[in-house]
Amino acid sequence: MIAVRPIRPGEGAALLSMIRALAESHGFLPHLVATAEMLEAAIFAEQPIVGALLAESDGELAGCAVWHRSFSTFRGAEVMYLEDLSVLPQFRRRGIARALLKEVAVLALSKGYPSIYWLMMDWNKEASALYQSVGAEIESGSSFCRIHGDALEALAK
Amino acid sequence: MSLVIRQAEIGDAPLVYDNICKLADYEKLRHEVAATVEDIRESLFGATPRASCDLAYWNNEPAGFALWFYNYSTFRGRAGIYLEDLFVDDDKRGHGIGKALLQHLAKRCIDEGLPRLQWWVLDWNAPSIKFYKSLGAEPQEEWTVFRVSGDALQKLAAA
Repeated sequence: MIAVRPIRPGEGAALLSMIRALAESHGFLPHLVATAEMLEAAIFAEQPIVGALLAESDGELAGCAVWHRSFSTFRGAEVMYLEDLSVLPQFRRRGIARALLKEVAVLALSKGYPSIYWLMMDWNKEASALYQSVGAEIESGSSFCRIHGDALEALAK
Repeated sequence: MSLVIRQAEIGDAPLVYDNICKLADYEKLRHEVAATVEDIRESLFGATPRASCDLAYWNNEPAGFALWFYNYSTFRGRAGIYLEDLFVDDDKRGHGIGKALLQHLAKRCIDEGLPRLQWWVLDWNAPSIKFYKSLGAEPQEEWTVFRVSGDALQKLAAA
């Protein structure tokens, strides 16, 4: 049985293990520097800057969805950004990601957010099929940019 | 010749809105602007501000804006800054105002210990892409954006 619920204090390490699984499957492990303490601090802050749902499969922690608020000036409203959706390897192909997406949608509507968006690496065909099967549409025509590290420091000078 | 950047205040809501509309015109997306001045006033300056805005003035005249909010990276375990809108008036381009607005945000990132500044660019906007690359930004081309909204969102929630 699959159950999805909000993360509880003390589950930062479990969350981190799911984020690590995601990073591993994407070859991003070297970029993963967060600690369980950092994640819990952000999630359980007086004014949380990020939220997380955990999925259990027959009582065992199996996956997570991590989201934060985003704002669309064109809509003049907040929308939801799904930062991570991860299922531990041994729990994949059981409908856990789909169950997490459903609860993310329930949460978004309960908060009055008109849409949820997220990013996926182009090679991830399996995820793409899942996302399209739940009614998500691909938004093409733009690329996201980021500046960090030395380039960010150089720009700040 | 002088450039001043200051944080927008509640009385600036019409100016912020005007900038949003100009940006949408430039992006040929004006039909997608559903926001009103009231939405912007409430979202930026209401009881719970959802975003912040820096306004640029060139020779004391409004010249452009940067509208941004904090996001979060689970890999870094840190917040970052997400730049939602950046726009400089047509007749005031070429003075480094866009760069100054980005620098202003980069400084905020460094001052607040935030490791990353992110934004989107339309793929047809070659001049902006070139400009961003010149600042050391990297367009991330290997990603696909998904969105679920409207009826599809309702349906997913009820699944």
